[in-house]
Amino acid sequence: MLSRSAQHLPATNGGADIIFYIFIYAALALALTVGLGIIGVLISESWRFFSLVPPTNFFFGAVWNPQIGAGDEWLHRFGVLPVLAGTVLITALAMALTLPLALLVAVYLNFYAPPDFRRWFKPLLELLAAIPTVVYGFVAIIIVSPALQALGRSLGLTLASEMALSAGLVMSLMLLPLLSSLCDDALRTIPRAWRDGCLGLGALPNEAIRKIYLPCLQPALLAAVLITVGRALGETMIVVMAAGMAARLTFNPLEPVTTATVQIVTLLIGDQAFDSPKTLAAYALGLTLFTLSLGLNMAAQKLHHRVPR
Amino acid sequence: MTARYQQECFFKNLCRVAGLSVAVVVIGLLLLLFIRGVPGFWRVEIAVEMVLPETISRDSLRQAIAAATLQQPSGGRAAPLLADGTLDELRRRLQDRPLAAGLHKLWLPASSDINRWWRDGYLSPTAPWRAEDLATLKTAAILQARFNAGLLTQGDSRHAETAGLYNGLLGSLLVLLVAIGLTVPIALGAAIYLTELGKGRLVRLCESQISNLAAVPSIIFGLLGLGILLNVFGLPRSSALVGGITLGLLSLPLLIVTFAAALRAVPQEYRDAALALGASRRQTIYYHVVPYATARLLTGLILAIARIIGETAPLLLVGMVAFIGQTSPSLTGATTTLPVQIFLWYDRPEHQFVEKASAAIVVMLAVVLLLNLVAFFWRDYLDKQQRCSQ
Repeated sequence: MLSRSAQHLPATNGGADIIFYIFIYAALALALTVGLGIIGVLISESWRFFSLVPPTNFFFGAVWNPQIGAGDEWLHRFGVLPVLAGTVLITALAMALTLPLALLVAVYLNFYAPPDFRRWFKPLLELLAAIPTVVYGFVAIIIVSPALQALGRSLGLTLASEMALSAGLVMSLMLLPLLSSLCDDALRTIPRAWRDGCLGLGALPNEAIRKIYLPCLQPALLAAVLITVGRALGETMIVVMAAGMAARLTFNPLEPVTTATVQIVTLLIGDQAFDSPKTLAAYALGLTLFTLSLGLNMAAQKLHHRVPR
Repeated sequence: MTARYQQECFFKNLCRVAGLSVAVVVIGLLLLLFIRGVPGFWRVEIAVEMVLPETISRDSLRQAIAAATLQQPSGGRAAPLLADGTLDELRRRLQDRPLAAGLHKLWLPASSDINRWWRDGYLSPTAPWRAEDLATLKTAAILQARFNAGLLTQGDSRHAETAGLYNGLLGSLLVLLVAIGLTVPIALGAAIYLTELGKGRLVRLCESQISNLAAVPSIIFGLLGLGILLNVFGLPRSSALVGGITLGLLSLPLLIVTFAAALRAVPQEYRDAALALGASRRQTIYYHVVPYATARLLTGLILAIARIIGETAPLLLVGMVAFIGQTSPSLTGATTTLPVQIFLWYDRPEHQFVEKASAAIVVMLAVVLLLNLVAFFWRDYLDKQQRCSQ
């Protein structure tokens, strides 16, 4: 690139040009290094962890209680399964709430809403997306959890203030703007001809939406879901504040559960010795999380390139 | 036939209910946060008469406070009513705005018991005053809820009544400056490559790299900061420098994507005209494309700033959870930021801190939401302008 453009340049511009191109390519290289840096640090620290704790203990162990004790017994307290179970439970709760709502909102915006609605609804969603996650965490633990506890009391249940349900509820609110704007983008790609064709053949709008548009847009919508799930897996502050610390293998949304992000924060907050398996375990969790979200995003990219027919 | 129309009607109403209920929930949530947070800007203060000493020192002030009396008509001893952090706050106030020695009428913060009683009507049984006495003081206007400017002008404190956000705000600003200073040139360079210089498969590869990077959970960037900045480069823990670099790297993919979109919005005619008149590629980009895109670049920057201000999780990992107190933040010293302060406050056992955290949330939301609205409407305006000119 450099040599080609340099050919038809006045000689006086040579110096400035070289600086300019060096700047551009250095910036690009730096931007791409960040990803390599992440992979490098995650893999090297995880390697150190797996040389202390066997990978089979980590990936298939059903007990997560990262305390180091005497003997060999502590090697079996680094099982990632309960942590992943909690992550999956909260993500599933959040998605179950947010997916139908986001789809309906996107459909409403595109097919039924009066033209003015979009004009003031979009900034509102933008605001929701802009709220920092620490605020969502605060909402979950200070507002939603007490409300759920009061509800539970009236039904005769005693609930802890930290539970999967309140974290999932608030997380669904956090995910809503992302998912509904992704669905909205997908629906906007519907060609005029489809609409004309469907309605011209006598289909009512809801029939066209449910039987033609949504099935045809399946890849794009699936991509939207995958991106949103990736965001949910990596969400930290809401779960740190509202989900709990104790790892247990449960799928009951009324119990406190823990997630990979919560465990990373608890392992690394405060002082730490950097060769202890406890701190290195955070990197193994980080690598797991990174692999999951990278896989989801790459799958989403693949799906997105598929053109609807 | 009617069954189909009923179905249509049902579906349409379902969508309408979903749309409207989302709108109601968003507005309700924001209102709730503001309504909960605003009372945190007020605290109960006591009208006190005290003799200020000639020389201001901890000991002389402690004696003065111990001897202070409530204003007439009460005239009782004031010390048991005052907040635990009164001494430190008064000392800072006198350092900022010295008062002459002698008798003064001052408003000093009331203890957390009294604040609780004022709000909930609950007085803890260990409190040295009876509720009736407090009610008399209230009617005599010796106890008053007053606007607490200290929330914005003072540093953190162990005592909720005298704790403030000043260092968190300053720390956020420092972190922001580091992050922006680091990221903007890199993002601009990368975006110029993606839109102006690169071609074909390489660009697509870079774009998918950057999209992958944007999907990386923010906490992973905390692990990066801890593993590389602290452990390899040995930068000071808890410092604004490390926090800023971490958040800068975090916002890099977002910034590249928005910058690239801004450059793509420049009409192709501008490039063609500049190149046709003999400008080099660099001159075209430097003098025509980037200046034309400035407004859009700025809206992207505003969004990134809003995101950086609210980010918390990676900062917890690079150690920005230390208690800072009154020491003002510096680039390499221990620093706290606004959202971290909120996280720490909500977690403290003292009940009053939850109210403080709600007030801090109002401050942060005001900043972040304002930035986002500005960016949104500015971009909207630019889109309209561009459509009109075409």
